[in-house]
Amino acid sequence: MNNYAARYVPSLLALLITGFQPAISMAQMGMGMGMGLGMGPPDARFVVAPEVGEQISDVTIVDDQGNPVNIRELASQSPYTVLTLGCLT
Amino acid sequence: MAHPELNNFVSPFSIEERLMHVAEAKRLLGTSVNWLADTMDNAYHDVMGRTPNSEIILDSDGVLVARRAWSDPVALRLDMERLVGAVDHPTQIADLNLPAQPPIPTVAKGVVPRVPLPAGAMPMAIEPQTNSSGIPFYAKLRAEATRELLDTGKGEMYIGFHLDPLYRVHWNNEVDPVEFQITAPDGASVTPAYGVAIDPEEPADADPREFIVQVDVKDLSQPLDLRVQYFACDDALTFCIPVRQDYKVHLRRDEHHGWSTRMNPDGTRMR
Repeated sequence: MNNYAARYVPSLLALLITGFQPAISMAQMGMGMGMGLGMGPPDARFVVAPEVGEQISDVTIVDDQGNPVNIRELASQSPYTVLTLGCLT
Repeated sequence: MAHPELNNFVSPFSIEERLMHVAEAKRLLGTSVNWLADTMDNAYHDVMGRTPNSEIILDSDGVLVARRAWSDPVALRLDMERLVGAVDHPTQIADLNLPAQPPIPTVAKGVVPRVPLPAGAMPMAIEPQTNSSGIPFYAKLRAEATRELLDTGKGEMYIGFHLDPLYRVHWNNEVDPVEFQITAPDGASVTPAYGVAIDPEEPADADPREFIVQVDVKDLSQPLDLRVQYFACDDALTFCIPVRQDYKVHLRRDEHHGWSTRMNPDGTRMR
């Protein structure tokens, strides 16, 4: 990793919405369905969601211990934050 | 839940159960990324337009600098290079040495024949009625309805009681089988309103107990009241207790819930 990238490495977060099983299949088979492999339905699109350049809604979810996590506060802790939704079960 | 029944998983009913899913995901995947869980009213899912596999990059002000409706790791890496610079040796999946953990084992399955879902059935909104006993919903209801039922108030409804593998429980077939009772509002009917699951010879199994009922209601805003009785017995044989639990079954689609992933022996999806 070059110095610039090392200095500004973003926090990487996997966001679990309702489960995890396709990601298990993905990991075991090394092929793509579910989180992180970029193979999805060709018509996947946002209908209602923030646009690039807009601030995300002030929403609070929880970490893996059940502690509240405000997404804006989380984002403020790093130059960049990646949130990936997993349709994992 | 996006894919009910895949590896036997069923929808969590509480945030504690959702966190149990997170813990199991961490165990199975062996990842070191940070995990978050949505609230039980799916606040983040709604914010992101209910896209099940989207990804975004936020700057420190919480402003989106990239978004995709379906995650794409190649595109994500290009985004990261644009934002923070390239790395000399990008990590490959093989570098992570991810463990391949087996799913949670269950007792015998394939003992009780599955009940086919009505054509076009879609998941219904249900409301588990928690009580002061604190007893978990070891068996969880999934209800699905035909579009006809949800549009007109008349049609078929599937009700299935699925053991939650996170609790390591099974059906003890040496005690009374599962029973359900549905109470409909005045002027409505459910047929049959009462049912008893079959009593297999196998002493224990983990197959869902499923039923099809005919529903005829005039007011779609009125939920059905469902009560189920069963014995919850853990796989370690430390307890076997009678359980009675209640649900409200709403005659509307659950927009956060996915389709069943049950498969036929030939690999096609069973509907």
